[in-house]
Amino acid sequence: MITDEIIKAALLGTDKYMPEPSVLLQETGAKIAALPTDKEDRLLKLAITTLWYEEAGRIPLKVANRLPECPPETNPEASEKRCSLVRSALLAKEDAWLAYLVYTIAKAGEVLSSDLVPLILDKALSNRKTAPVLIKICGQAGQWLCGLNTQWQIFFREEEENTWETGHIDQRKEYLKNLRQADPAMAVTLLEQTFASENAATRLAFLELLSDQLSPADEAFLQSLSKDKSQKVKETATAFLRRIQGSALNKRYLEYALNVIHIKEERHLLVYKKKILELDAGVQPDEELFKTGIDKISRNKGVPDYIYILGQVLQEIDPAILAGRLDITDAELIALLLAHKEAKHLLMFLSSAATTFRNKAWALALLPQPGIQDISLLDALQPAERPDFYGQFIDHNLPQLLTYILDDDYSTLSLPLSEALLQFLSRNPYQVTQPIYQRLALHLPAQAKPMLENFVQDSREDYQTRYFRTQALEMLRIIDLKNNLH
Amino acid sequence: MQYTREQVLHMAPDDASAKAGQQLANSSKWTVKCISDTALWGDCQGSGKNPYKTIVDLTNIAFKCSCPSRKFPCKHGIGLMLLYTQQADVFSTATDIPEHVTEWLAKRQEKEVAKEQKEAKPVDAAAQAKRATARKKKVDAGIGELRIWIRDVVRAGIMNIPQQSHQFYLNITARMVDAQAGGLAAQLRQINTINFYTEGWQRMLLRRLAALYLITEAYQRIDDLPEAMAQELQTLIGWTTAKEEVLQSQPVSGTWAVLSVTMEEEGNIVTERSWLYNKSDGRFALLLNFYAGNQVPQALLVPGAHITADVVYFPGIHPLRALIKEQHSLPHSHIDITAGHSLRSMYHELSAGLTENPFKEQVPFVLNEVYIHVTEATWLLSDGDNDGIALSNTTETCWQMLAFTKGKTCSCFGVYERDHFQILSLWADHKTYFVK
Repeated sequence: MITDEIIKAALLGTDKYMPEPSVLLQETGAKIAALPTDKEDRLLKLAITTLWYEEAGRIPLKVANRLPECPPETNPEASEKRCSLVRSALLAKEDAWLAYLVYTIAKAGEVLSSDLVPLILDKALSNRKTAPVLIKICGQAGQWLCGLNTQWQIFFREEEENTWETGHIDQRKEYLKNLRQADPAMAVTLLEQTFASENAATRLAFLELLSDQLSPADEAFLQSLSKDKSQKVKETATAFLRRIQGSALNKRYLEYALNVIHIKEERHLLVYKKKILELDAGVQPDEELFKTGIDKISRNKGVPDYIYILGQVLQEIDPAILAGRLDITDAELIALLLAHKEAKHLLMFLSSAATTFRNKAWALALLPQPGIQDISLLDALQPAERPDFYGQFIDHNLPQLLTYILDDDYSTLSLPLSEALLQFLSRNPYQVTQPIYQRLALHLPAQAKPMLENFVQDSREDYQTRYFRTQALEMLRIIDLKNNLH
Repeated sequence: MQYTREQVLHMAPDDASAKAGQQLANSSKWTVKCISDTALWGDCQGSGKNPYKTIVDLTNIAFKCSCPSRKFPCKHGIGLMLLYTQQADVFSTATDIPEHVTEWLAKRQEKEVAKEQKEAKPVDAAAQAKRATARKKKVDAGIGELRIWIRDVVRAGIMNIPQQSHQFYLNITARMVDAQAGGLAAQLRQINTINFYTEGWQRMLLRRLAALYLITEAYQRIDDLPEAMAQELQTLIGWTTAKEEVLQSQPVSGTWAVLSVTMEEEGNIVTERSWLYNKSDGRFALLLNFYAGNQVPQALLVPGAHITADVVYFPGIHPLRALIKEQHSLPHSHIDITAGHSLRSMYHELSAGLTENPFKEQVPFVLNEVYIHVTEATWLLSDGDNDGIALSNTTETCWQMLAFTKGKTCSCFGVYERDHFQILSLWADHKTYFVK
């Protein structure tokens, strides 16, 4: 090839090498060779004629196979406006607003215009937690593109048969988690097979996944962990055993609680009977009880030891089971416990029991109690029942409260709650981050706009007011965007 | 106002401005929001005491803002237009246009008139000839030095150039600037686009040096060349033709589709390339604008728009670079061009073009019935005959283009350059994708 020869000469320099003219360009080559100029001039002219000659004769490449076409979308495409907003949100990295747009598109059963799909797939790669919903709105185009791009293939890779044996830790955790939900006993069987060969951190991570759907069927396996080398594994297994209603350990707790708690009936005014609850301070717990993680001496000043022991035991017993054994309802039991003179020392433990065992009657009785700060009591209520109690957590539990308020369905907050939140945030603007303000805006009702506008017009120049003014402006923008979306 | 959200975002000079503009598309930020037949204006409360006054000329899209930003259009201009696309109802229709708006619109009008007067102004021929002679002398000397430099490079061999790829041409580039051969300097700077870490750099460098040598060789015979070729050569070396002179040439009238608008920043200079396509005769026109520092563009074209315009071309062989003499926007319509080219016929045309003008490097084409193909990380544009050409677009853009087409056939506009094709816009099923 003459071109290779010319390039060789150019690389080495004309002092070291000079090519012969091309056979194809013999006439021109001969003319160049006959020029009364230096070698460099002749080489450059040879290069010009050869390279240009080649370029003038170029032909297209041959493409062997054509890519398969994307199958037709089964879902309608989101409107041009919505797709444009998604593009802008991606560009501006406005994750809260993007998440809302994605939610609305997914809710409407729509898919994005296909040119946006690569951007969304890249976004899903960078944030695996949000990947499923992002992939959903990519439709057929997403699946088709994932088949062509190795980086994106993970989103549509079928679960491998030997994930448990060969997968990395996250895949194995995901596998075990799914199995635990589908078949709890099988998850334990699987875990038993390899548990001893795992390292301590992995054993603990896998064990923690069993917290979902704990049952007496898990007792044998958990008991076998009492000899585990890892202290954390042992403690976690014991904690689970304490919580399993009907386990040997839990039965011991129940037995102790039933020994301490007595329900009596007293006649009042000679007309009606009234149940009263008495706690027997004289019942001596079995020493074995204190080897299961129960403290013998009260850690809290002013709390009698027997109340402290009872509290620890009560938080491991399902209120419904305890009430049944006492032959009263769980609502009656909590009412009696709260009426007891030592109730204030038990509140924390009762609240924990109500949360762990999702006991609605107890949660409803405990939430109005002064001093209750355990926001997880809301877990025992239906989502529709929770808003009545949100207000009481604004001042002391705002970050946790926001995890309830900013739900995945983008529920609109009531105006009074919105106002209370905004008032609190205007006084404490740094309690939440900017993305949370953006997310909050998506839950605010349109009626909250005048209040936000008032904050925007607040002319004070202290740094907190200025910061909140900026956030209020941003929230107004997002409210407008949301309102104009439809 | 006929602009869509996408078109407004396309006007942003960079992604940061587009993002900032979106933040300002907030009704609460604007204390004044007004629209009339000719303009859109508003007052945006910034961090300072006085709000920024932003105006958008809707007749021939242009922006004005009292903010100190050096970007154009600034975030306020983008924000105001975006707000209008989102919430037109928050804008009041003004009957009395405020003074600062009328003043600016009037000034723009005055400038247009002044431009026309400037066009008509006679030139001092004697002074011009004197300047031309002095310049020719400088260029001659510069070209002589360039020829020696190229020969020196070839004599020493290019083997070691990758180790000094960023410096070896700097002195000669500076020398070409001194010699008032700006075109040659720009071509020397193109050496930095060669990737010296990939196989094939040797050929690309030799091609670049050979092309420069060919220009110098042709320049020595410029008096024997046809007038159009001589003009072409002079442009390549760095002689510019005054815009006023170009504006006086015979215009090409017609309905033009704006096929692509791209901005590229290098150093302090932003280069704006707008490709137009004449729907009646199939001619392309390239509007090149260079903005330095805080220079303000006079008019913006939006990709996908259609205009009726009188376009005048710079002199040369089948020239592409052009200016718009007069333009009027047309209602929005989809791009729908049938050029009848296959890839094979494109190559034939390129070969024919090379014989007419061996210096031509970028050639625009509209191709129909083509599809995007990827094989082992190589992106190709292919047609029904299974012919293909490598794409020079970025991988990210290629994925987006493939997603846009869904693997189906489409039409595209792009530019051929050195055996690669750069797609600048794609269209199919009344949808268009513009590469930014």
